[in-house]
Amino acid sequence: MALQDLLLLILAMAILANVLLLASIPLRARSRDWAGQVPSITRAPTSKAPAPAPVRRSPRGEVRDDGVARAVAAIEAFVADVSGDAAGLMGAPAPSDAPERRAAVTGVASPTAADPTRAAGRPHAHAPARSAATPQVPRRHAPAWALAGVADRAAWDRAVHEESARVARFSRPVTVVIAELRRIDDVAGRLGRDAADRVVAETARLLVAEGRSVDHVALLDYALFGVLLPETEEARAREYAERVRAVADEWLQSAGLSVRLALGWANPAEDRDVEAAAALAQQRMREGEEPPVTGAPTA
Amino acid sequence: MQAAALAKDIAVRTIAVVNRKGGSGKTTTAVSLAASLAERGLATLLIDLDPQGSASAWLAAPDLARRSFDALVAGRDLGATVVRTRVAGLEMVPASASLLAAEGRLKGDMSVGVVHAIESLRPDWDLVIIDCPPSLSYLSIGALMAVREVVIPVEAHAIALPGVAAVVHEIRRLQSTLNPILFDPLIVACRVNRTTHARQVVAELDRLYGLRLARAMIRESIRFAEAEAARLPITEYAPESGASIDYRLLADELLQRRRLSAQAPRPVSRWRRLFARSAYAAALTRRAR
Repeated sequence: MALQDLLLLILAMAILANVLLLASIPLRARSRDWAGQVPSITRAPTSKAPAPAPVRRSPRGEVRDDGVARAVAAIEAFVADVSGDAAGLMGAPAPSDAPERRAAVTGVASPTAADPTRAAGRPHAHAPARSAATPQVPRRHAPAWALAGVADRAAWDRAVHEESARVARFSRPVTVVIAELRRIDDVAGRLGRDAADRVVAETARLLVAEGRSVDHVALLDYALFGVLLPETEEARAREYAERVRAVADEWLQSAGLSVRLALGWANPAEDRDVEAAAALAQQRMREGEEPPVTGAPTA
Repeated sequence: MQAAALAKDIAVRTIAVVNRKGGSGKTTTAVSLAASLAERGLATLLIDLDPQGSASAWLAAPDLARRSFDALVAGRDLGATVVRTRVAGLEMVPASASLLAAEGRLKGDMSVGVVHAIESLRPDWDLVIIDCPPSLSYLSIGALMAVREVVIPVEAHAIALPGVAAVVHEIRRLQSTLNPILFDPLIVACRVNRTTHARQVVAELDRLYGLRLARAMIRESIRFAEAEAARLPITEYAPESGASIDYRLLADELLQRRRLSAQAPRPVSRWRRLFARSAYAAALTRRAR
């Protein structure tokens, strides 16, 4: 075959190939659509239409789309989280009357949320659950009281002084509970200071969660807590202490820690001295004796 | 020329000045820092988000009661509320007292409005400094969501230390939730006098925050009150005073730290990046159209 004919043949074949290539595009597209439209035995056909965004309205009545609504929800959640931490980090007990909010802040399911008969004083045994909004306290760079999110010694002294004046004036019942984490140094030595800090912080949250909003929880020393229970007889304080101990024991045992929470409580004597009651509670905690449940002020 | 060279290799820097505690030197820092940066030849915009309007009163901004309110709440252009000040190169967005009531009503929508307003600003300035209210408010959260840098002025007093810890904690939470591209805050010791107590507090801040503590410290000076009464920043009122020098040093340190802004922010997980870039950012872009 002549060279010219060969070149013409090659050119014709190239043109034919291009034509076929161009012609195959709509065919492939149609075949893809067709394949997509045939329902599969193993999966349901997927809809190509985008799902309509949920409609939400702003306080001004304007319609917001889903993205803005999610952003606003994230902002509100951030404010709720940080506001709950704020009082603890600034040296005051976490303020909350709502058990749900307290649970969100402390990470411990409050018994009042599940059981409205908490006023009867029945103990509830449950492990503290970690909520998704567990606050992350800057552990390495904050004072010890800030780690726990409760009041410090100075605030405790002020609260005791004020309560003493109130008790002396109005003769109202008050009980002081002292709690201490025994063998916390073992945890620090074995697992590190951060782990020990976490145990202290969780214990503080437990003490707050099992109490009421009027109760005053403070960190007196690294693993020593004081709980001031105004308007509380010793019998009720005992129930509080038992609840806290039950939850703490269950939690610490499940975590495999050798730490134990020791508790002692006392209410003021005839002299209405709350500070002396705190010292008595601490002494009882150290001695491990449980005061008789008489409901009357003990000396 | 040096300022122009500095400005060339940095994008618009957005800085929020925050602290919960009143009297920490927040407004003084925002105003004086902005004036010092403008003195360096950098076009600076100061946004007064505090409904009290302390920065606006200091720089004698005209009474525009509703204009920034309209921009932050109704979605109008924040750039239209910019006014010039007596300082060359320094412009400001005055505060609006109406924001206080609006914030209580709108809550999270206020934060979104602030983000939208700041991100919609034209890049006509080299630095944007935001004076935030002295509380954890939706206005300040919106500012922290929109900026990349934070400055925390701290009074050199022991009573201020818990507040700083709280603010740093909040910013860390915000970094992990609402603004992954926010850099760690720069802490500035303010109202530093010659007492042993002040030195101890500064030493404690250094121990707690290390490199996050600015080397420049702002001394306590009655000149600040005089400058405020004269409706001038300290760099104009008493340019040779020690307080002016302190703020100039702080401005220089901030510019030297520009390389932090130019670097990539801390690595974040993919889903955080998706939230930051797609969810509300896209929604805000659609809202802007």
